[in-house]
Amino acid sequence: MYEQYAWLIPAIPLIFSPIALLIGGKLPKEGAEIGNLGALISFIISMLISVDYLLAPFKESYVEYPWIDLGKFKLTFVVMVDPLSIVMMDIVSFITTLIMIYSLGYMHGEEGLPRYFAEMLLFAGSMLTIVMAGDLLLLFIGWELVGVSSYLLIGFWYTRPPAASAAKKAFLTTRMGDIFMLAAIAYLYSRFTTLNIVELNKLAPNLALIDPRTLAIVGIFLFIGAMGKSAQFPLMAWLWDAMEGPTTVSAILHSSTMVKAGVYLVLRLYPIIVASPVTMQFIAYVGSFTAFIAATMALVEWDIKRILAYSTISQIGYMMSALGVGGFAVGYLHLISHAFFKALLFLCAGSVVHVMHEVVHDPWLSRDMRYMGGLYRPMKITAWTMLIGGLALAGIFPLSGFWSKDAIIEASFEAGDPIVYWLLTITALLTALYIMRLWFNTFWGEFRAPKLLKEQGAGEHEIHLHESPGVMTGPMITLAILTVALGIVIPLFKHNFVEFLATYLEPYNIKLSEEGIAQVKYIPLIHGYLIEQIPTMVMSLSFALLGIWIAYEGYVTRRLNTEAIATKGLGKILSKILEAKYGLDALYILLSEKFAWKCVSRALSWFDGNIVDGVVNAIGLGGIGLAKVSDIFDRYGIDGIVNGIADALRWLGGRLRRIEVGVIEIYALLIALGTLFVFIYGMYLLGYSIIGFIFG
Amino acid sequence: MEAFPFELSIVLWLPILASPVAYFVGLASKKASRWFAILISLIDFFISIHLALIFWVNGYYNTTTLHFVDSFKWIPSVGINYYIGVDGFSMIMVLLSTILSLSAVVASNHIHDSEHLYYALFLLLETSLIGVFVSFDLFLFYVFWELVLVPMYFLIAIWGGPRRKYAAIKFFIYTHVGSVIMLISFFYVYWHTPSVVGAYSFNLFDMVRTGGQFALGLQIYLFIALFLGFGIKVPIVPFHTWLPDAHVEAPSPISVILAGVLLKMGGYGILRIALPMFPAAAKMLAWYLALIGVLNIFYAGFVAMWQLDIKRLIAYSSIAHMGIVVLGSVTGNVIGVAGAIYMMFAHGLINGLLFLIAGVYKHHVHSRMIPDIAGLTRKMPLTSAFFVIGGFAGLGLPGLAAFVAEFLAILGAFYTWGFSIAIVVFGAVLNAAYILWAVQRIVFGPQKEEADVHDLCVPEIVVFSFLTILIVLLGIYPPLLMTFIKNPAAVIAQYLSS
Repeated sequence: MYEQYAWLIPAIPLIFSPIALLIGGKLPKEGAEIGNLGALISFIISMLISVDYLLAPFKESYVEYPWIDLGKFKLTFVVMVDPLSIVMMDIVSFITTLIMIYSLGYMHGEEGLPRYFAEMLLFAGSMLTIVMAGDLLLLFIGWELVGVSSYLLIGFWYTRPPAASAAKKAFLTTRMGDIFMLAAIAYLYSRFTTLNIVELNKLAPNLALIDPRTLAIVGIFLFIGAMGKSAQFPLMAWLWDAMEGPTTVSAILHSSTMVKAGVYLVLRLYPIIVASPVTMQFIAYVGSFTAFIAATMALVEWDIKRILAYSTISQIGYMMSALGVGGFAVGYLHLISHAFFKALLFLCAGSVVHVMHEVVHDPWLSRDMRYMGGLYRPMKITAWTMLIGGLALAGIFPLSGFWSKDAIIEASFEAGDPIVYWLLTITALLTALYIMRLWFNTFWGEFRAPKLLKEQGAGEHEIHLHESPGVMTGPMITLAILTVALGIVIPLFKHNFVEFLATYLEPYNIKLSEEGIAQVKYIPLIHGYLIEQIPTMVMSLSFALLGIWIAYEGYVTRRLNTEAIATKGLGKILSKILEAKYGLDALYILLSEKFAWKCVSRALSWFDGNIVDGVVNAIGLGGIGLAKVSDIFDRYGIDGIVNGIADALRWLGGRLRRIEVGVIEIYALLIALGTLFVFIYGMYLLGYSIIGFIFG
Repeated sequence: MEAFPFELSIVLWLPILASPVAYFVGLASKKASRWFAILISLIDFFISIHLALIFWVNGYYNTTTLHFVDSFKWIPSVGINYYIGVDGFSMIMVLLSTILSLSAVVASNHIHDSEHLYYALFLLLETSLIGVFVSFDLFLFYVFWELVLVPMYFLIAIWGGPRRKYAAIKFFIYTHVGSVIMLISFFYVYWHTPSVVGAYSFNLFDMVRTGGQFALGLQIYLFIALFLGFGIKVPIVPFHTWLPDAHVEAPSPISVILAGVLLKMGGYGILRIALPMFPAAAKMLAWYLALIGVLNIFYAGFVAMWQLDIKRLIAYSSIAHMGIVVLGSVTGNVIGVAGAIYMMFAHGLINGLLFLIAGVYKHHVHSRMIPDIAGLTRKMPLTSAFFVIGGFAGLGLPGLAAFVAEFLAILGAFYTWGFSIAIVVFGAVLNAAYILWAVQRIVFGPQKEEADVHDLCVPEIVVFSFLTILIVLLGIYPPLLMTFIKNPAAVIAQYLSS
């Protein structure tokens, strides 16, 4: 009964956003009221709809709003409530609400709070637009709005140049993906004259028989759009720079918004994607490759937030590979469990940074793990919640990450592609290693900041470490409990979840196996939801434990000399490559700044100013030259009588020229009067005819 | 609801009739001249809104015929008539002219030299602009088309920047050359009207019927001549260099008119005259014309990226947007043509706003160079906010007007050419790049705390908010405009698709 109000879920944050900006400054909490209220209302409505659905499942609710009508061509907004969007809207609105509450403490006392809450609402609203969209137009609108609101949020501290360039980088890199998606959308529209997702999902797979190449192009183009937003290789360089925004922004961006949009797009258009084996393979390879290289980059990073950024990229890579090997339910499940533990990890990191900032007074150093250590004692809540999040990320039994991630590895094993399988398994080891490296370096050992600061010659000052306030730890504890709880819920309700999602795929003749794997004739039959295959499970779990052990040896007992490894021989070369992020940043600079700006733009500007305009000016000068030649001809080529007249004319010309040069205003007036005269004359003729018309 | 008798003629002639009054009033009091011009523009704006309302309420948008027609014999012996009227397309172009004239005249608060003459010329300009869009007699059309140049020339040459004389002359001669080339086609068709309609006639519809009868080879020559004439106004690369100079040197309110309305004359001419008159040629050349549109997008986009003068940057972004107009116009389907027309309107509002902001920087910071105006966000928060909004509107952000246009034009292009035209989407990245690059350098970054500048004054806030509201409205609820565009776009598209 509530499903017809589904449009309110994205609309409320979007409407509240400008309100927060305009009147937020006049409120006691500077717009936080509106931010929290908007997120909360959205959450309540989505809960009402979900409960409604669970009590009495309706097929799918489907409301159309006409937008542009050009006869044969129509563009319509469709708001759709179906199993896919129900799960997602709950997660997005719930995590948004938590982060809004957390912001009360974290952003306290910042300049420009109304702007912050307006942009957060815009961000959440646009993500919810993507989630609820039942047509590609609305989805694309949400897609672009997510891009711009992330731009504004990453650049929130606008006076810091790195924030500005990070914001631009994020927007441009994701837009590079968006345009491919736009091309695919435009193509789909030109072929089927509809953008309705349900209809397209039914129509487009038919291309597999008549035009498989085009179908593959469409699928890959759509996926490139997803790659941009979900930071997949090679469109991933923006995500680690996106840390320039407030930590709350990173938390919402990495857990449920923006980077998940890409995964959601693939889920949404799964029938189109699955119809083309080439596309599926592309997705599986890009996903597993991304998972691997992002995890390796996290190994040498010291910035606590950047490590989490790499881990997001890597985990999204897992989701994408799952979808690429047919693991529809598996991929979605990992999206859900990741949303919770990644939000948790970011809020914990925010808590650490918040406290560290009071010690080092520098936005860069407060994120540097080399200055941390020994934070366990003053920050027990943060330490424990972060450990839960970290173990979930590492895929340790029985936390949520274990169930979803091992299922993906299993799915890839069953798909029979050794490359994907081994990349993902090794990544499981690396994941455990880098996240425990982070945890040990932050919370274990002695507090290193005082010594380092002293070495740098900073003055002595009293260091008082303390736990973050309740508005910050509250959401952290909630998320930690949820992470643990999901670890219990997932194995209990897995079949219900698969059935739930199966209702979404049913109309497209895609059957989900018992294990939540799409059974399509194009891909080998894959299992992999249930942990039936004990060997794969043992394998990935032991790899993860091995990773934790290496981290323990390297950063707690220090029996493993990590510094020596990184500075000698092959280790040195490898760590150099990793620190350079495989040259992806350099590639971005090369393409944007060096190539587009300094090379093409500069060359064309020169061409425009000198050649194109040069020709114009040359023609102009030629005209003047010609006039001079005729002037000479006029002066010397004509005999005396004419000379006299010419003299007179020249004299008159001189007079007129003086007017022209001296008082240009008079000249203008003369011309204007002249024009008026012409018009009056024209009017006279016209009036004549009017009179003639009236009096016959 | 019915229109008053001769209401369209009143909209057309009111400003020019008020022009001498503004001049003589201004001799007595400078302020009075300004207020008088604002009053006249306001009245004209309201009358045009009234006409649009009648158009809407009476459901004229369902028809393809002309409405509010005023027709008199003018020089009957040669088939020249005073024949004005509007269909949906002309209606919104008239609205655009009155909206931007009002905005520009209100935002002329920094003009202090010879105000009486300025406002007199401005009103003269307004009439000539409206005249272009309502004339359906090509002789009358041509008179207005040329008349635009005269006040524009003086407005640039007298109140412009340091290189104003060069810019004004260049603008005048360049576009005049275009007009003359265009006139050749007009006359050629005119001489052949008797064989088709029975008598010499400058009536647009008669001439369109005549032109359609020509053989393909002939049509191609005549079409190219027309397209050149209109294309210089659009402008199309490589005939665009008059535009950056004119825009940069003109005072900001005049840049608004230049970018907002004057360029639209080119697009209007292509859609209204060139395509219908020589449909066979247009259909044959459509692909190449589309490539010209794409060239505009990329060439101007790259050049814009390099500019340090913010007005120049906006000028080049105008050229890039006009590429979308050209591309949409020649798709030959209603969705592309509607996108092109929508872009003409949206671009007028957006670049109008951006040029006015550039004017604010020029007047308040005494520079338009990006390094000079950087880091003033704290001092000029409103200016920066409007600049960001205008920039985002310019890069086609959903929810703002240009997105609708871009999206439709791209859909239309794909509908006709499929993946062959796919390269056009890269324009969207380029577009975002130069705008965000400018925003990053101007709005973001370290702040100049000691700078002595003040934020917007009241008339500017009023105008900027007005334009912003329109941009948002058209972005969220396109039927406001699409209703007018739908049928004319279908008619124009039909010429190319049949």
